[in-house]
Amino acid sequence: MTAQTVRPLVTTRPTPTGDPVLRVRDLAVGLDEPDAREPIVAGVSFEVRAGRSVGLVGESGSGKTLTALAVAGLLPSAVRVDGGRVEVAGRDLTGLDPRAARAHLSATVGVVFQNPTASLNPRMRIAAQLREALPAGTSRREARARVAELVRAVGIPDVHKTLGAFPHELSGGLNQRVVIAMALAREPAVLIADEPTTALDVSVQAQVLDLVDELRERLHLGVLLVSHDIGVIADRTDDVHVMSAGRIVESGPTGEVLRDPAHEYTRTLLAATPSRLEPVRVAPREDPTPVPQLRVEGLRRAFTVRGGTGRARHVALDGVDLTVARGQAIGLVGESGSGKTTLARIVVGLERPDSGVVSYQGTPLTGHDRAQRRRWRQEVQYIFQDPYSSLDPRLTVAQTLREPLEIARRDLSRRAVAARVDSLLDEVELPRSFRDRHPAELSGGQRQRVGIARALATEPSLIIADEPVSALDLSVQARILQLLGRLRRERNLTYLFISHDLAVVRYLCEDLVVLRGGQIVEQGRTAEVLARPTSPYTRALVEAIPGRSHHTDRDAP
Amino acid sequence: MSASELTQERAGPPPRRPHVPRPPVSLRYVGGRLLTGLIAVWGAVTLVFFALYATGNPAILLVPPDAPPDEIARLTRLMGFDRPLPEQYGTFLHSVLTGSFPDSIRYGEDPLPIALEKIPASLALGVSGLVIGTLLGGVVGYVSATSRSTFLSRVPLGVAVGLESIPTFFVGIVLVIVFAVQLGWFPVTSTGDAASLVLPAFTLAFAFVPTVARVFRTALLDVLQAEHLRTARAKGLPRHTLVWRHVVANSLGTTLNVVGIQAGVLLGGAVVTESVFGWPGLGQLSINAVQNRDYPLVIVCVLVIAVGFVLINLVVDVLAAIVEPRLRS
Repeated sequence: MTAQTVRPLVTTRPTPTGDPVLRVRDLAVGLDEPDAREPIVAGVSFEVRAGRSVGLVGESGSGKTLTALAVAGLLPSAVRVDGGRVEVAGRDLTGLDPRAARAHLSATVGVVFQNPTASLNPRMRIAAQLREALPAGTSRREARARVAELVRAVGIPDVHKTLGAFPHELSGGLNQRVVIAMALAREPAVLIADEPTTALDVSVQAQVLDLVDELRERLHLGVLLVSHDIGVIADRTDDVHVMSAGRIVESGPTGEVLRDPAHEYTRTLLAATPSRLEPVRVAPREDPTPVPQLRVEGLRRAFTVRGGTGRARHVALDGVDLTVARGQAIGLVGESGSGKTTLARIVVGLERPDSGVVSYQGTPLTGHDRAQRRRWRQEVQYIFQDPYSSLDPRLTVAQTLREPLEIARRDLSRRAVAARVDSLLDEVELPRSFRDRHPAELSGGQRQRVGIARALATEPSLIIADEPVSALDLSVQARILQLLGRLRRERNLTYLFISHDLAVVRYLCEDLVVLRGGQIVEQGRTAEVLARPTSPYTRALVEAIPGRSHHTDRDAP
Repeated sequence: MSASELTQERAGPPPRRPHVPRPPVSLRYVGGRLLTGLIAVWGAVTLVFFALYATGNPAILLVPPDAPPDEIARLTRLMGFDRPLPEQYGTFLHSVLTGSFPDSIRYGEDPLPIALEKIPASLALGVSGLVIGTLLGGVVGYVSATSRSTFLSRVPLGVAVGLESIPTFFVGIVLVIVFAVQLGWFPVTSTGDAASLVLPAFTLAFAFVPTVARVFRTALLDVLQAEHLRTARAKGLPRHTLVWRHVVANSLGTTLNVVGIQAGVLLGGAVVTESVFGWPGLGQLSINAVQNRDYPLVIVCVLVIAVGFVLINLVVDVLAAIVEPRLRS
């Protein structure tokens, strides 16, 4: 068989180094309504040069994603471009008819989205989706060769298996690589990445961003990186534009802007970064009882997972021992699948272990009598990850807070319950007038405050918090973390705090436990573990934290 | 820039491993579905057995109204209707498994061939009703989900849902009056040929256009919101590819499942429709059998219909698994 010649994947472009491949001038985006009111995005101007990376940073609602989608011509139907010019690869899109603009954009702009698995068609194999992304008119034989070429270019190890798979059979990281391969298929000049790693684990995050960097250099792409994560922006961009309320409030070289922010908003954003918060440290109180509050011994739990090839056992916990003393704050860190949520669910009794013992104040849970069980139910409370789905949408705030009291404290009069509800609202810094609101009338941060108040209602001593801030914006996240820190000081609470974010754990917890594959790979004082990780896995996790280059000067002890 | 720069390690053509497509549905999946289907068939015939048992002694029907009591008793004994219930049930199950049923009371012969003989006519009606209903429902659903005009997005669906609240026999009678009696386009009573199939097929189709339309509309609206559609748009695909490959094909999975469930409605509707139009199918046969209390024939009709229902559902399940890969595991 003769060797088949493959067309070069990317042809040499005439663009000399550093020419702008994307120019945006005075872009305005608004709702597609006849009586259009205030635009959502206005007066946005920036440019991206070939081989350079430009960041758009801001909180949700700042208009950064709409800006990116407007440039890529992918706005949802309810939104339209109201004005301004967009020039891609030397061609002005203003005044082009939609079809011609679409054709030019799809040939010159590659887009990578936030949620990799949802960004792929669940019904089609990877190979078919990649083939579709190739320029029209590619022959079958050529297409097959180039699809394999692309998949290898984005560092996917098992090309054959990946091409024959459906998106739901691959991990998020692999899917994101596929999406990047798809974005490269038409040899773009510009790569727009909209929060490309927000949905991924920290170590996978670093790999994906490394890949984008590498491809940018090798293929001389102009990259527009949209992110809410200052760490990612600090590590990965040359220039940054800070967006707030639909406008760019500050622009400049990334290093300068982050070192010496000129605008008030940039300063608040930076101050809210968890790694910049002053850690909460509580002096250990005199413990009257020597018995540990919570003790977990030899915990094992496995699940049966139905996969594409049949059933498989997934071992979530593989012999975990843990002792939590009264007043301690332990951070439980690990990637998805490490077993941290299963551990938390077993500790509160939402799940049963296959083997092993959970003891609360010296007595195994299985040996509790009625009264002990009742007390355990009241003293151990859970704060959930997603404030949007963990509150009953039909109940008002007051009803939500009353419910645990009605179960645990039947002795309280109606008036006493109402007073408790008010004081709970005070404690989580919500106005008392919020009593009669429904969750739909609250923001994400306010909902999480209600979730915290609900957990506090029964006067617990141990709080298990499962990623309580990961769904929140940076500044809201900082305020919730501060609230959790204050509550711990005031109430002498014990925290078992689950997070994938080492910076958040560093802020709130003195002690740290690193889980991997259902086993504890490292534990100790947070500061020590982060400074001198002993296991290679922890070291990899620490190194994968975005924004280290930018923060180390500040954080060094 | 060349391929070698992008993939660094090698620039040659990819290894040409033969592409072996995986079968869309495993035998295990089909086997599992068949097993549940068998249980459903067993449930259906058992239910009918006990229902018939509860309605009284069929031997009374076989003798003239003025027959002496001992003649009835003799016949009852002869046919085994005096045996204890578990024994009767055992004999009954045995006859179902071996396919050797007692002779039809009315026709005096093996009831199985009588029922099987009606299958082609019923199948023709059922399949044409199913196809027409699915297509009409699909069009109505698609228009109501995607049309920008308020009229098109509301009125066809409204009409379809209105139809749902009208009983099948009434729809059938109206169709007969308008198209057969007044316009004279189609025969009033069926002769079993293609022209006389049109009106019953549409009557049957109308019974499940609304459900198909509604489910398909919801599925389409979901897919139109999906993020992968944005990815497909970013590829610069032509409009018809977007619509067919990424929107319609992705909406078929849920819709097919509902069509499978609706197959039951189709069979029920067939019984009514066949009597309205005098279509010589299984539905009419079973109605007559019930009216005559033709015990063996009723059982055989139910058996054939239940097996048909299971087979339709199996086909639909396999189709759904082909269009919706996530269902396969």
